[in-house]
Parts: sequence; structure tokens; C-alpha cells
Amino acid sequence: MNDIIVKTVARILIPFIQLYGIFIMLHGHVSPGGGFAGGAMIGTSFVLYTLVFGIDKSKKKFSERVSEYAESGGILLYIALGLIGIIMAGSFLTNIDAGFPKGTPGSMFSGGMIPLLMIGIGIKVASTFITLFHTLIEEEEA
Amino acid sequence: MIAQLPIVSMVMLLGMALIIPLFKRRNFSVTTSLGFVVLLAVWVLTLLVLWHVRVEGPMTYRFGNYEAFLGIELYIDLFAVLFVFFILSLIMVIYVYSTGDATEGVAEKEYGRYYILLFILLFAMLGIIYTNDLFNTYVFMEILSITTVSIISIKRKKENYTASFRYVMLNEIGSLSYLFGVALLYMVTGYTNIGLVAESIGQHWTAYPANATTAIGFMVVGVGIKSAVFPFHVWLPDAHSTAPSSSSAILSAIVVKVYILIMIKVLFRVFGLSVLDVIPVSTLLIAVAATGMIMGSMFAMAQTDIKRMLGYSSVAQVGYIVMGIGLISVLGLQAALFHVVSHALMKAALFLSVGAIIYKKKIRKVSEFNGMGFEMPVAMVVFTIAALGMIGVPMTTGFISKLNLGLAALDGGQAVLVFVLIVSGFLNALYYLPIIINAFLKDNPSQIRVMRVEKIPKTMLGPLVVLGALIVYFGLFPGVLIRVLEAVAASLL
Amino acid sequence: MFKRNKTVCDHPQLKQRSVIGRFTVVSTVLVLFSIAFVGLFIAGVHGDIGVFEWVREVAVLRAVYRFIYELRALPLLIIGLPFLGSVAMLWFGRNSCNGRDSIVIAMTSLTILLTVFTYPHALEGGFAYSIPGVFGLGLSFNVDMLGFTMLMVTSVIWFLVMVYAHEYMKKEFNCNRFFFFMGITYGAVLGTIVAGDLLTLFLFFEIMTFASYILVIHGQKEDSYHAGYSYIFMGIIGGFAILVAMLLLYFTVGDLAFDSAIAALSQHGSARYWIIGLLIFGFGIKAGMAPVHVWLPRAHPVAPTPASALLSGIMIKLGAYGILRIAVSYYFPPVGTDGGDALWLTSQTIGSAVIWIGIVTMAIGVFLALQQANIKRMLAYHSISQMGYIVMGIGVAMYLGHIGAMGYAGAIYHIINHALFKSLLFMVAGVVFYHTGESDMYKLGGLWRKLPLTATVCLIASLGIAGIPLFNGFISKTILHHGIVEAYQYGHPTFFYAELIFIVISAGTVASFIKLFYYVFLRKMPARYRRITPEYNNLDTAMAMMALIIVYIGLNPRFVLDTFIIPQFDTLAYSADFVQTYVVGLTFFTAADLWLMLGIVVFGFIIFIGGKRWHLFHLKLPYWMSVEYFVFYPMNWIIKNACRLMYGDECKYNDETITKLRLKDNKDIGFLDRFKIMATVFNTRFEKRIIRSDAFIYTVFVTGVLLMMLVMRLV
Repeated sequence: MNDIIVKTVARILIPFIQLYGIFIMLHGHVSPGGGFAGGAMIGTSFVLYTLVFGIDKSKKKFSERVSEYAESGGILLYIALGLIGIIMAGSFLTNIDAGFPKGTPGSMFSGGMIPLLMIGIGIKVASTFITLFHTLIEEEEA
Repeated sequence: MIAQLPIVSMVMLLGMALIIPLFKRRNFSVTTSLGFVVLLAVWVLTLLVLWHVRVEGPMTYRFGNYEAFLGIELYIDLFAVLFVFFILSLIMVIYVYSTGDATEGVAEKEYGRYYILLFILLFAMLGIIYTNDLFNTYVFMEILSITTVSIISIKRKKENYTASFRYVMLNEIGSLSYLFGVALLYMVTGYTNIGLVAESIGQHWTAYPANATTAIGFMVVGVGIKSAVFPFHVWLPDAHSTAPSSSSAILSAIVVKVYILIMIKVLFRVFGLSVLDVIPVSTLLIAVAATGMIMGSMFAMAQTDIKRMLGYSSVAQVGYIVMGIGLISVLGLQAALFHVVSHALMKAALFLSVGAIIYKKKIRKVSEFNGMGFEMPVAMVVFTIAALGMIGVPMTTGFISKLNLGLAALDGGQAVLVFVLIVSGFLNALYYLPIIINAFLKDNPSQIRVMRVEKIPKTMLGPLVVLGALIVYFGLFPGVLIRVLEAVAASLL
Repeated sequence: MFKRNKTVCDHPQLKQRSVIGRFTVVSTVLVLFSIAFVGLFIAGVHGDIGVFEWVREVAVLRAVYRFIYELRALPLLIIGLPFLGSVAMLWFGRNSCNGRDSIVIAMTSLTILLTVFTYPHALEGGFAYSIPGVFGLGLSFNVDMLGFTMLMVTSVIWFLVMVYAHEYMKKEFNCNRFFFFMGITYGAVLGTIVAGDLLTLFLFFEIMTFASYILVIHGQKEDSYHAGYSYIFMGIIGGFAILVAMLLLYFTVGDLAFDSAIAALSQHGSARYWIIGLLIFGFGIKAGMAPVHVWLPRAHPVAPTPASALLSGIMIKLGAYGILRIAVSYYFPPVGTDGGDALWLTSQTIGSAVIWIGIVTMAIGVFLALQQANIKRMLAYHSISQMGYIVMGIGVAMYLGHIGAMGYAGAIYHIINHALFKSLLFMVAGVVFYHTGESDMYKLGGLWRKLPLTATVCLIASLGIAGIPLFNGFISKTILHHGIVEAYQYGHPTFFYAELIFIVISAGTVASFIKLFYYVFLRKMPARYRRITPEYNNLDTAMAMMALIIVYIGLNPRFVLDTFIIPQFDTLAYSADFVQTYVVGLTFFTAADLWLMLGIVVFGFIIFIGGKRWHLFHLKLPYWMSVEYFVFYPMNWIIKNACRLMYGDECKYNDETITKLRLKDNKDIGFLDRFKIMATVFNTRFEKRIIRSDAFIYTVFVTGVLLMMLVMRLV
């Protein structure tokens, strides 16, 4: 789209959307949301960028290479956290017993490793969202 | 430390799947070799676990140290480890085969994706077999469905799409039936962990008979759809025939069996003999199996495409296995498990040899097999060995399975089943023998008369020879395997 | 025309430099040596000649003899030798015809020598050897006198046929494949004979079926494939029947070794009848017993002559051997049981059925044999008929129970005799084909001038099979005749009619061979055969040796009786007194028997002359009398009407395909092809519909399952 108003508004809005997405992701253990919802929101922000600025610029921002790393990295983070559980406390995906800080219930830094897991999931979901959207857009244009 | 090995092996497989895209820029052989190394490592780890379980007994593993009713539990006993070991061995053979450029119509850039799907598939299979939680089984079942659909439709042709679409639809119906059954059980018992559910069912089911009956019905039908038991086999011929050869081998030889293992787990671990004696699941299974054995072969006889024929043959063989399960006795279960192993070997050998023939000669019709034995002797010899095994000729594992199934049927008092078994074997002979005869004894169009080992990559020849040798070896010396399986069957009942 | 696999000696211009080739001389020497060795060894064991004292003098021979005597694995070695020999033959015979054949002949000769070494052990009661662990239940081998008899017959005849085959196969293609599978079949045949329990027997039986298939299909023409399909599918059905019987036996008795199992079996009600029924069916297919004999007349003519000779001579005997083994091992009470014991009842009931099956087989065989023009087809039908004699003998052995020794002796003697003269007759047919290229007897004639040795040998064999005194057939037919007379003397009087049919069939056999000899060797010779030049080669060596054996047995019947048959009774449950009085004290050449034989010969001549005059030898049965028609047509009718019922007019059940099925000539389209066409029709009709209605199937099924389970639960 070439409209200057849309472009400007989008440029202002997108960071806030992403911030909100990160907030939902990290607060998954205290409020509704979590990795999937937060990741979807971050994905949505990139979709907005694609719609406004065009697929080519979007691909420069979020290239295929980045998506590969993001998708693999997300799950690898998850697995790594699980493996920490094995090393420290003898069971996969152990939470408190593996040494993750318990914190005070209700605040962001509580619940052990769950926020970290959410980050991993969020990255992956966002990346999937964006890749799917890019694939659909490309097929339509081709 | 040993207790960590199952989950570590699963994680390694998943990790390998995730790392593959990162190697996209390099030579593809790096990926395949690394994949083989990972598979080998997982195989060795499983061997260690097998040895440990054999000596020490079953072990339980809890995720996150949570209690059984709160968290996910893995129950690793001889049954689970043995079959995981066997599946990994067979996958290694098929993996080596598939690196030989025999993915048949799959585009170059899709190869990486194929292996990602393969590893995730393996991860899911290990998960299904190890897990001790009904809902977790559902999750892994779904992952398995999606990945198998993808390895069918990775060949981008129209027939693949229709076949995989039908496959996905029917599999979803199956999964949802299964989930419905799980929900019913949860409703009655309040748990999804298999051990706790079994305890609870044993005590309370007489208070809620309708629930338990409906649950069994839906679960058996659901898993039956996914393992191609007779009336629900309709997705199988299309799916297995249009898929690339190594996918067909994996599907027919392994994936179908994993669902049967789920059926065994559900019937014997969750419900147990006390329930099964009263609810007539046995009659149902035997009736369905007997029909399947005959009808599968009847349909197979009329096929012109060889992979479709092999697909229908799978339907018939799954009938044998379900018949063994339906007899609900140690002998029957042992015979069924032996046939799981033996059919996996034979079907993999058949699909891989057919794949080699399609790769080299691009021939798929049964009528064009004249003289194939001279142009591709190794593939046809392995095909012959496996086909003779399906018929039930002595010196192959198929014969031992028939013996065991027959004895189990007699032991269960169902002499008619022996007759059905024999008729089915004869029908198998009706469509396999002409192919073998045409291949070796008729003249082919190019009139080649000297047998020379065919020029296909060694990574394709090796697995064929290994599979052929294994079929004959277990046909001659089945003793060890039978004893182990008998122990497994006894532990399940 | 495409290239076939030719080896060096197939070159048509290859001529022998001298009248008698060097290979032939060596073969002749080897033949004489082997037979002499056998004779001397047997005589030595009996202590008639001081051969063994002489052997013990020479240290080397003594060491060799001791070694082989002590070798426990001798049965395995006997079986393994042909397998090894066939592999060796493939290697050495790649480039040279003579090299390959020398290995084959040496291997078969060596097998004879090894076989005869089991004689002392067999006399003592058996030579058991087992390999546990293989195959789940383990293999076991046992050479007792019955096994030894069969081994001796098999190895001698196989050796002579291999000598014959060297020369005969020069006119055929693909010799390497032929000899390789011949070796494998030989190993499997030996394995079947030395098997000590049913599982081992089944294993080698299946190997034999599959290996001999390649021999049948050797010509690779259209009718070879049809015959091959018939052969192998009936072989597989037979194998499956034996498998089911084996399962039942294992389940009821728990042990498959060839020991008396009748006590355990009697407790299981009808299972024993199922077992013996299935086994007789299964082995009967192999033996060419009616009504499952249909593969035999198709397979024998299309196979090359050495293969036909062995099929007819040895392999169908294995069917009879199987039935005999099952009957006397499982179904007889243990040795030393009293005659009045109730355990004999099962055997007696089944025995009467077997006698009648034998009689029917005999009749069908001879009647159809008289109608044939093709020499080998006629001989195949005669094989069926003679197997009927043997089966009848087995039936008497079972029916008379404790006093059935005569039938048993007759069956075994006839197995030996028939193997000899039938192989010889096939060899003669092969020689005629080799020289003239013709197998229709009506087109031949006057060959005694050109092939005098062949004519003489054919005469000897025909006299043998007809049962003329001084030749071997007379002995066995007399014993069988005594057996059937005893059946109606000591048993049920209806067997008198069986005896009458027996006499008529014998006359028919005589007539048929008069016909063969007349048409092929006498008469006027058609012009095109004037250019045949006789030469002495391997064909004649083998045939001459076999004829000599026939004459020897005919003149000296006690040899076979004392050496092979009488010792078998030591391990059987027959009454020792009866054996002593009637079998050991058997006098041949009694006046009654000789007069009976004369009457049969005269009757035979009458049949022949009458048949020639009134053209009785060209009858053709209508197509609706075949076995397949009875089985197949009702199925077809059911499916057609079911389709019409379900779909009304939309039923596109393809009548065009069905009219193909109504062909009058059985040869155009075999039974199994029809079955496949039916399956294809069924498939095209239903398969797509089933695939499209998947959701419907699911719904119906789940509802059905739930209803069934709830109903059955709540009831």
C-alpha cells in the first residue's frame, strides 16, 4: 500500500503490538495468554508490516534464514530447558527442583522455567505465523 | 542415568529434526550422515535400555518428578523397549535405502523436509510406545498422523493429494474416536494415566458398564481405522501406492504396527482380562480379522499396480495380527507380536525391492514384470524371499508366524480360524507366485538373458540384502525371538 | 526367435569322433561299479560273502569304513551332498557340458555309496540324528528300514536317470538351470525320506515342490506354464493340508516324532479323522490319487524326459511314502500290541476308505490311459493307475490291522518295481523323441529295426508293468492280489468286487502296453524315420542297466523281499506269526497265480483287438465332467445372482468375461485363471464404491459395534 497515512500509523503501532505480545508471552503463568497467544500477536505485527509495506521489504526484515533459526531455536530452547531438568534433578522438564527460581506467585519472575518455555514457544509460533502468511501471499502473487 | 536414556533418545531425534534446516546451505550428504549417526546413537542407547530392562525389570519415568495423576509418565518395560529397538533397527535400514536417491519423484529441494518429517515421525513413535498416559498417546498420535500425511504428499502430484487428504480425514476420525474413548474413561475414573485408570476400571466398571463398553468400542474402532483393519482400510491402497517407496515401506511396515501396539496397550493394560472376558471384544476382533484376511487378498488379486497390490496385502496381514490379539491368550498375543515383527520385515523388503525396480526401470504394472529377474536380480530375489514368506513357505519368518497363529487358534478353540488362515495363505500364493514366475521364467522385452547385479546405488542394494537375510535367518532360528515375545505376552496379560 | 542359454555342447554340429564316446565308457564303468558296490555291500552285511573280512584286512578301507559307520551326521551328509553338488556343478559347469555332467554323475554315484552305508544301522532299528533349535521345534532325522528302502530306490534310479540325462539334455536348452534344480530337488527328496518327524518332512516336501516346479516349466512354452501353474498350486494346497494336519497333531499329541500316537489321538474324538484325512489329501495330491490327480497328466508330458522319469518314478512315490509313514507311525499301536486291541479300530476304518480310493484311482488311470495318443501322457495316466495299486496296498495294510502285513509288503514292493519300470518307460519315450522328434504314438511305427536296444528294453519294461511272470511286476502284483483277497477273506465281503476290478484293471494295463509296443515299434515304419542312425551312448547305458535290474528282480524275487521288506517288520506292529507264515513263507510261481496271469493276458489281448476294431481308443469326455467345473460354476452363479439382486439392472457383471469361462477346452484357460477373472470382476464392481463410502462404513460400524456390545452386555 502506498498511502502515507497508513504507513506512518503502522510504523508507530507495530512496536506497541510487539510489546503487548511479549507482555502476554511472559505473563503466561499468571494471566490468560502464554506462548501461543503472545507469539500469535507478534506474528500479527509482522503481518501488518507485510500488508502495509509489501512482501519484499518484509522479506528483508524477516528472511527465510531468520525463520529457520527461529523455528528450530524455539524448540531447541524448550528441549534445552528440559535437559537442564535432567542434569540437575534427574527428570525431564523438572521445574523448581532443577533450580529455577520460584519467586513470589503472581509476579512475572515466578513459576520457575515457565516464562522461558513461553519465550521459546512464542518465537516459534510467531515465526510459523509469518512463514505461512508469506507463503500464502507469494502463491497469490505468482 | 539409564533411566534418562529413553527421553534423551527421543529428544535427540527431535533435535536432529530441528537441526536439519540449519544445514541447508551445505552438501546434503552432511545431513544424511549426521542423521545416520544420530540414529545409530539412539539405537545404541536403546540397546542399553533393553539390556537394563531385561535384567532389572520395568522402570517408570516421570516428567518433572510430578506424581502420576498430575504429570506425564513413561513406562519402560520389555514390551516397549523391544518394539522401539525393533522399529529403530528397521528405520535404520530404510533410512540407508532412502539416502540412495530413491525417494522417487520427490523434488531435490524437498529432501531436507523429508528427513525432518522422518525424524519427527520417529520421535512420535517412540513417544507413543513409551508413554503411560492416554492423552499423551493422543498427542503423539496426532503428531504421527500429520507427519505421515506429509511424507505421503511430499510428492507433489494430484493423486498424492487426494490420497493424503482421504488419509488425513479418516485418521482424524480415528483419532477423535480414540479421544472420545479417553474422555469417557476420564469421566468414569478421573485419571488419564494408564496405571491409575486400570486400577480404577478394575474396581468400578461394573457400576458404569455403558461407559466402559462405549469407551472400548470407540477406542478399538478408532485405532482400528488407523491400523487399516478390514472395513476401515479404505485409505490404505491409495496412500501406500502413491507415496514414495521408502515412505510406503515406513507406513506399511511400521506405522500401522504402532497403532496396533496402541490397541494392545489399551485392551490389555487399561482394560485387562477381567473386563475383556465379559465384553465381547474378542468376537468382534476375530470376526473382523477373519473377513479382512480373505477380503484383503481378494482385492489384491485383481490389482494391476504393484504397490496397490502390496497395500491390500498389508490389509490381509493386519488381519492376521488382529486375529492373534482377538484370541486373548498368551499364545495368541505371542503369535500376533511375532507376526508384527515378521510382517514388518517382509513388507519392508517387498516395498523396498519394488522401489528399486521402479527407480531403475520405471515399471509399476504387474503385467510388465516379465523377465525382471534378469535385469534386477538382487531386487527380485529379495522380493521372492519376502513373497514366499507371505505365502508361508518354510525357512521364512512367515511360516513360523503361520505355525504360531494356527496353534494359538487351535488353543483358543477356534478351529475355523486355521482354515481361514490356510485359505488366506493360498490366496496370497495366487497373486504373488505369478509375479515371481513372470520375473524369472519369462522373457523380457529387451531379451537380456545374463544375470548381472543391477546398477543401482549401493545404499539401495545393501538394505535389500540385509532384509532378505534377516527374513531367512529368523525363519530358521526363531527361538530367541519367540522366547522373548512369550515373556512380553505373559507380562501384558 | 530369441537367444536361449546355450552352453558349448549344445552346438548342433558337434559329432562324436568314435562310435562310443569316452564319456559314455566312463559312465558305463561307473554304473557297473556302483551297482556292484551296492550288491557286494548288502551281501557283505548279510555275511553271504566274505567281503567284509577282506575289507578288514586292508587298513585304509577299515579306517574309512569305521569312520563312516560312526558318523552320526550321516543322514545330514546324505542330504547335503546333492545340495553341495549342485552348487559345485554351477561353478564347474559354466563352460563345459561334460565337466558339469561329470560332477552330477559323480555326485549321484557318491550318494548311492553313502546311502548304502546306512544299511547296518537301519537293520539295527534306526539311525536317529537331530538338530535341536532350528525352526522352533528342531529338525530330526531317522533312517529305518522303510527309509532305507526308499533311499536305495531313489538313489539308484536318480543316478541312472542322471547318466541318461547327460545325453538327452544335449538337445535341450538351459541345461545348467535344469541340473541345478535337479540337484536341489534330489536333496529335498532325500530329506523327505530321512525325516524323523513331520515338521522336517514338511520342510523338505515344500522345498521339493518348489524346486521341481522349475523342472516342470523347463520348456517355457505356453502349455508348460499352464502345467506349471496346475502343478505348483496343487502342490501348495497339498502343503497347506499337511500343515493344518501337523498343527492339529501337535496340538493334540504334543510331539511330532514318528512314534505311535494313536493312544493320545483316540482321546480327542474326531480330531484323528481330520488329521488322517488331511494328510491323505495332502500327500494324495502328490501321489496322484483321484480325485486330485489332475496335475499329473499335464505336468509329465511338458517336462523334459529325465524330469518326467523322476517325477513319475520317485516324487509321486513320496506321496505314497508319506501316507504309509503316517499310517504306520502315528496310527498303529506300539510294537508288540495284541491283535484284538481296540487301538486298531481307527486304522481299520480309514483303511477301507483308502482301499476304495485306490481302486477308483486305478480305474480312472487305466481308462484314460487307453484314450491317449501322446506317449508320455499315456505313461502319466499309467502312473496314476499304478499309484492306485500302491494306495490300495496301503489301504489293505491299514484295513486288516494286525494281519495287514501282506498289503504292506505288496505296497513297498510295488513302489520299488514301479519306480524301476516307469522310469525305464519314460526313458524309452524320451529316446524315441530324441531320435524322431515325435511323441504321438499313432504317427510312429516300426522302430525296432532302427532302435533295437530301445525296443528290447521297452519290451522288458512293458512285460514288467503288465505283470508277466519272470519279470518284477508279477511279484508285486501277486502280493497285492493276495492282499486284496485277504481283505475280503478276513474283512468285509464287498472287497470281492474290489478284487474283480483289480483283475480287470490289470487286463487293461496289459492291453495298453500291447497298444504302445505295437504302434511305436512294430507296424510299418513311416518314411521319414528311415534316416535314424543308432549309436551307443549314455541313453543306452542307463536303460540297459535298469532293464537288467528289472530282470534280476523278476528272476530272483526273494532278494528284495529278504533284504528290504522282511526287516521292516521288526519295527512294525504287525503280528509276527502272520508275517512268518504268510510273508516270509511266500511262494511265487504258484499254479493259481500263473493261471490267473494267463487269463489276464488273454483278456488284455481281447481288449486291445476289440478296441482297435471298434475305435474305443478315441473317446473324449464331455467338458462338464471335469472336477473344476463342479467346483467353479456354482460360485460363479452365486456371485452373478447376488449382484443382480443387489443392483438390479445396474449390475454390470460382465457377461463377456463369463463366456470366456465357459470354454469347452480346459487347456485354454485354467481353473485359477477363471478364479482370478472372477476376482477382477468383483473388484471392479465393488472396490471404488467401498472406497467412496468410507464415512458411511465408519458410522454403520461404530453403531453396530456399540449396539452389539451393549446388547450382549446387558443381556
